[in-house]
Amino acid sequence: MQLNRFEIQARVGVSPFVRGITPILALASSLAITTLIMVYLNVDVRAAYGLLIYGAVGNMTSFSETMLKASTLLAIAVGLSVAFRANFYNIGADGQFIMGGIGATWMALTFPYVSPVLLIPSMVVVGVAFGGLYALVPGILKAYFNVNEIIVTILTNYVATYFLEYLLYYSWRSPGAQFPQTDIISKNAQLPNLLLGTRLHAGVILSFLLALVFYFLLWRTRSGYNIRVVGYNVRAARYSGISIAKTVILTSLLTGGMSGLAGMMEVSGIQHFLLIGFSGSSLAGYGYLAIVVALLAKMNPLYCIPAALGFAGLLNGAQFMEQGGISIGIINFLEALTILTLLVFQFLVDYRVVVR
Amino acid sequence: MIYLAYEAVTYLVSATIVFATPLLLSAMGEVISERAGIINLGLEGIMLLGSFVSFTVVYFTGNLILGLVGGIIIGALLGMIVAPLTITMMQDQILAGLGIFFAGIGITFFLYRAIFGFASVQPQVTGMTEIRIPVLADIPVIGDSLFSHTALTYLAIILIAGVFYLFKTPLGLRIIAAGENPYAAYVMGSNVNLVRYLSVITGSILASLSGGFIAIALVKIYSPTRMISGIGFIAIGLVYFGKWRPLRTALGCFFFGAMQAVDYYLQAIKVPLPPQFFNMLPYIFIIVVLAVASRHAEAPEFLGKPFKK
Amino acid sequence: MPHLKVEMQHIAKSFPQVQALAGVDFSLYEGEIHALLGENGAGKTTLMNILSGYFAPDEGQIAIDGSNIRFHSPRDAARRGISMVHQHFSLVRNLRVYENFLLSLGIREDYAHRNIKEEIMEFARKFGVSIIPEAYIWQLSAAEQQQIEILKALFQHASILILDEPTSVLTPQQVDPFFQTLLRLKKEDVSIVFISHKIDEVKRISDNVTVLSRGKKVWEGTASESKEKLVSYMFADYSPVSERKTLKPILPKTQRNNILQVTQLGALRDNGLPAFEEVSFDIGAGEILGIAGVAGNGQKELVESLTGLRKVAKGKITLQGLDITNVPVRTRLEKGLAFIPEDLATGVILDMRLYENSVMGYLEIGKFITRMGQLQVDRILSFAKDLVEQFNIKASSVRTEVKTLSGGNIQKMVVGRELKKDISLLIAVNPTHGLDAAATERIRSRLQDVSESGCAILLVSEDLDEIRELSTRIGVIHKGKIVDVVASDTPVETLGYMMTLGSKTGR
Repeated sequence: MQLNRFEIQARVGVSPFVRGITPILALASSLAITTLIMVYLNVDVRAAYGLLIYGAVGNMTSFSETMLKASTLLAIAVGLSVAFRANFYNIGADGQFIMGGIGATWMALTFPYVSPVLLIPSMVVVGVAFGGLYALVPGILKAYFNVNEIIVTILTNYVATYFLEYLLYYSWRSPGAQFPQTDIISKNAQLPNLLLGTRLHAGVILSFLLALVFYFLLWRTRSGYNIRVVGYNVRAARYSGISIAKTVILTSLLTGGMSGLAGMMEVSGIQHFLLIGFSGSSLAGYGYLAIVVALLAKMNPLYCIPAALGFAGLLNGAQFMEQGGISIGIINFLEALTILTLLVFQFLVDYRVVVR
Repeated sequence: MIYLAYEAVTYLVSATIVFATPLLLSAMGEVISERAGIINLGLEGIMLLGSFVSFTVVYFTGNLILGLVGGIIIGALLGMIVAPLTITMMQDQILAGLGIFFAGIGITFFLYRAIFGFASVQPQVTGMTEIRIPVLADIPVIGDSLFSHTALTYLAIILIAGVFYLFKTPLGLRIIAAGENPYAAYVMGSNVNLVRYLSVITGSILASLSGGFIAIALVKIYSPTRMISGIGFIAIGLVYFGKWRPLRTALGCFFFGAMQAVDYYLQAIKVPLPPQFFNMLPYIFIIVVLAVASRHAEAPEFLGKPFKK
Repeated sequence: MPHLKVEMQHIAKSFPQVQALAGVDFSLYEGEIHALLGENGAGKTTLMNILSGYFAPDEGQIAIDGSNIRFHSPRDAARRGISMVHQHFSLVRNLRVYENFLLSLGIREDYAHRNIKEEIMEFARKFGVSIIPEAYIWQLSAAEQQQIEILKALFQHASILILDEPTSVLTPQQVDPFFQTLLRLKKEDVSIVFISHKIDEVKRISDNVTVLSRGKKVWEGTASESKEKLVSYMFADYSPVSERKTLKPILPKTQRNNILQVTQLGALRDNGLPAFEEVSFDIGAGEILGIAGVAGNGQKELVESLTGLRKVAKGKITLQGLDITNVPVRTRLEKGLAFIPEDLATGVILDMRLYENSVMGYLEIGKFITRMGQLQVDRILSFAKDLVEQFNIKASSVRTEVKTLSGGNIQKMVVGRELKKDISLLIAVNPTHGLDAAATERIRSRLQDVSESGCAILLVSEDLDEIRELSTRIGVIHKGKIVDVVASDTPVETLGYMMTLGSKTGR
């Protein structure tokens, strides 16, 4: 409303520190609001938070689970950081994740007896390829057909989910299983375990390494430079000889590949078979959660590490809380609140309201 | 044979209109919103919440009107979150929309569990019944399919004309100006922010009603995960396809409705293909349609861009 | 005793980074034409934006017809009869003429019963102008759009009309009839504020003049003040300006070492209609070819075809012997093409740092990347530091984001960056647009330096004075064709005829 008493002015000289802590403020305030709601609903807040923290880092199991979730979120978020910086709003990470998992499973089911030294890297390659190629569809559509990638990527999520369902109910259905799922993949196809007694697998290291790699990519290579320029100002990119189409295609491959990799790691390292909702169900899918992680990390692959760890802790804690009787919808609600409060804080940091 | 054909035709015509209804409601609302310059990705979330609220109200009160009112209210409330964020606070519309999308999912699921618990049988209502238009519905063959629908469907059809004529009114002109060149509009004396607020909130209310329709008129059995499944995003896609023009967008909605009708029909007559195939088809269809239609997109100039004075 | 229509007192307004106005007074009498004179950036537009309700002042009062008012939006001002014709932004391009009129009439006015299109045509006819109400704004030329804007303002019974640089879209021939219109309005007691930086026009048409410089009011008086004095008021805060260099002789065609050859070139606009056709010209080393023309006659598309941002439909472009027609931008840059775009938004990424902006389009050519694609940040940093020093760019460090720099410094960076490259052809579009006199001077002499070192320059500018000053030859573009390429000392009237009518004489 143009309330005529108020004028909104841009602020000058905001320190980067203040800009930098908006994600933390956002997370903190959304937690605070959620807490308030819990209080209002007469939930035992102390117990709830106790469960939350215990579930996040309380014991070795919790801790390793947090690390696992973090690594999945991290891989996807790193890819999303690149995508969002190029203004390629990839909301389809979930679908690419699923395709990556499908690809890896296919490899595992087709070549179960090949040596792990060969099998696992090839699964990585196939997972990345499936994810990347799946993202190539919206990529090409955006680059050459001027189609809005947001709509397409979301739609491809649904397509991937149904495709997965089809595979699990028909072609790959494991005969002995109670629910639709594939056979358990062979030992050769499973990512090596890092810590006995936990599910921690070698892929975790890969995720963290890739975060560093992508940081380097964005700021120290020509491709990264191009990606950033295209994201900031398409006209300027064209003016300086950058091929927009090629950059968009590259971006879609990178982000799809990373999501696919995450899917592969989920199958090979954690689940060991493919099942419905292995991306966390469409309600709280990793692909969507990773968007929030990337946002909190301000689209910087390095900052994605703490953001992913924090968020993973929250997720784990929330699941633990669910066992204590608190609904899973909380996660989505928290997700939403985080984005919305982040926007509000960004506004407060960049502008001030003057009364006339 | 003729009887089968007759069955098919009556079914298809009727089903097309029914399936097109939620799309029409959401898409027409989004046309208004996007013409004013605001893309509302939260449509899906608003539809979810709208469907839930309408359903729950009808479930507990048995009163359809109240259910619709509930839908309107929740739509307006959600619109009043999106609007300040994108208009007054000039934040990224896509992120704000995603936030509402997630919020819709979260709150709906949470409330569903809270109210209905883990019931093994999904709750259902009798919902809305069709209203027959006297003389017209008696036309042989298609009369029944065309003129015997729920009130919301009639509303959706009227809405098409409504939005079309809206853009010829002074207010409509301001909506267009707000999306094409808000600075010029402002200089010419239009209260651009107010126009945008109204557009977004209207779009939200319509989306909420759309969700309500699905819950209490179409499906009547409540399932938090399987009911909306992307209809909100498809509606946005249809707006792009319709090049932001109400008539063309409506055409797209009917096409899609027809597609869904055919989809269900083929499943019903047991065409030997896995159900997932049918499920995937609508989404693939939209993607293809967009690929073809987006080449020469004539989006409102300032769609997605905040108006900074 | 003429009636004091507007009185603005102690107006102050500041924006992030910049104090646009400080303690400015301004008064306007009924029926006068009052010029607001000053250099770019002096604050003239800001002051009038405040009067027309677009901004609210930080300090100060405004009185209309004696009573203090406070405007909260342009609509408030319009209700008081104040209308401003901006340089840009004020018409909705995708709507028709009559729809733009409707928009400005206000939402509550009941015009359902009025035949608006008829009314508008009638109204325009009274001013000797014929308009097509159903035409879309984008179909009209800049001068026609300005006409519509003025008509629209008058249609709303504007009693105070503010015109921001109105002659910038007019050719020399169109200025006279335009001034006649203003005098007519004056007779009908319309008070006019005429914002300009052109002293000659100001002296011709206005009754009184207020001079602003760097946000302060420097002088106010009648337009009969001498030109020299007015200039001195405008530049009161400026340091003396360097001497202009003399024009170079034109080499006959055979002696020219042609760097750029354009043969029968044609391309289309975005809407499919031809933008320009059968364009041919050459530019040799050491030459500056100025393209003069009213905005919208195809220059923009011509430049885009040369730089690679637009596909060519017909004809050929040769750069240093290499056919670059429709070749990607990259290849042209590699062949030594440099480009100063008309707006900063195209040439610069505000959110990126200075050093990253300094090598835009130059990464491979300048060897700032390794074989593997890695950026050599150290080399880029030192390149940027050189750039800052050479062109006197005021920036706290090469690592700051470009958006923290002032417009003038950003322009200097863009110009400097292009000039530092190893270039054979420089295409400069409005290179000194919006800059103050000192920066303008510096850039113009730099352009001459570069030209002297053997580079060919294509200069496209809306500032006819700039073209006449810098070019060795002038090509005039009119309705997509090059009327002719003439010597730079061709009289202004001739250039004007060529720009408006497409021929050298008045016919």
